[in-house]
Amino acid sequence: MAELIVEIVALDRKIWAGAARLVRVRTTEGDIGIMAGHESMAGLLKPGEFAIDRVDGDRLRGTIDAGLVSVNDNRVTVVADSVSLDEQAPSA
Amino acid sequence: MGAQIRVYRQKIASTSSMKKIFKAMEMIATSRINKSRQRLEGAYPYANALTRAASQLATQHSISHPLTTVPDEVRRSAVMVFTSDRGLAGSYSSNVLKRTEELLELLRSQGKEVRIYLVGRKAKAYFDFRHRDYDDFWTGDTDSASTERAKELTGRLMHDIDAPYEDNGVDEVLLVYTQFNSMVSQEPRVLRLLPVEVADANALGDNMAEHHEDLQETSSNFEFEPSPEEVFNEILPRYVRARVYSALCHAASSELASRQRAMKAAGDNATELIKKYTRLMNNARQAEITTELTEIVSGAEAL
Repeated sequence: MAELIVEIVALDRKIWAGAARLVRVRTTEGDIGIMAGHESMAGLLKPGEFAIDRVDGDRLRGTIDAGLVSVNDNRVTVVADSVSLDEQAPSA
Repeated sequence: MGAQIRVYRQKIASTSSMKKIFKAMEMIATSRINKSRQRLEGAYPYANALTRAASQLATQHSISHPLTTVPDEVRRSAVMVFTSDRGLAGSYSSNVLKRTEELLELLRSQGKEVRIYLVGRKAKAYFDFRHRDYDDFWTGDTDSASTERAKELTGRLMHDIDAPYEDNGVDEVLLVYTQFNSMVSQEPRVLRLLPVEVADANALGDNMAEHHEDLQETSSNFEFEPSPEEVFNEILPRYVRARVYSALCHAASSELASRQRAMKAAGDNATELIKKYTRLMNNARQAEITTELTEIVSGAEAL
């Protein structure tokens, strides 16, 4: 099954990077779920929760205050002003 | 008698206490530099991600935004100078200031007004000492870049570029900072921060070239939520902030590297000096003993 390569970055560091099946974020237009093969897009994020279903089955959750998401060729980049992860996430 | 020995002893004592300071400064710089370099590395993903997004946008849409449009005539420039708070860093601050002087001269010869922003106490001291004007300054914590400082500086610059010329607004923003190439090589450089050059989609920032190829393949059908303009409006300030933060990181790492190198050299010189003075002191002592002996012997002979 195709995978997404996900990267979450904040101004001063990379928060998390790894492979995932599904990325759910809240854009200004509403929640979207991104899976492999999603068309290329760029969107603005609203303050809210996000969830990432990692390839190994775990789910990574957290909150974002504002930022951008861009999808390009199965690469998802979440650029956030500030991020907090709900639980400890081992970086992949 | 003995005066010479005393002088040398004093010199040795003061040199050793300076050597201790040099050693301490060197160790502090060494311990901080790794952290600072990690910060520098940490700033790349964010800047790259934004650069990618902005250039994808620019390749598809011709968007004109005040921050990307080069005005026909630049009447006033803002120059932001990054130096250190403390000395004992070799020629770190003076190199930046020298570069700044060149730039200011160039801008003035082109008939532009200049607004000057100073970061670091050394720059402020330099301008104060010469009774020269500057518009604002920030001091403290130049050896550890913080996102808060980056936000503060960006806020000021964005405010200036948004303001109309009549209201003290500027047409371009230049940064003078020290680029950290490696532990042994740092060079002062001038970066034009604003307006951002996206008109030429291939040249948004320095690190754009490497992403250019993968853009070509996928830039055909890009969706924007809610609209390209709004996305662009959000990207640009962040991009500017990322560049300012990266300049802060470069400056902090360069400062620490310069300090470490300068303190290493100073410590080595102190060791040399102590060695030299010790020899001279021994010489003087020997001479004193010889004189004394000669006096005693000649005294005895006279009896």
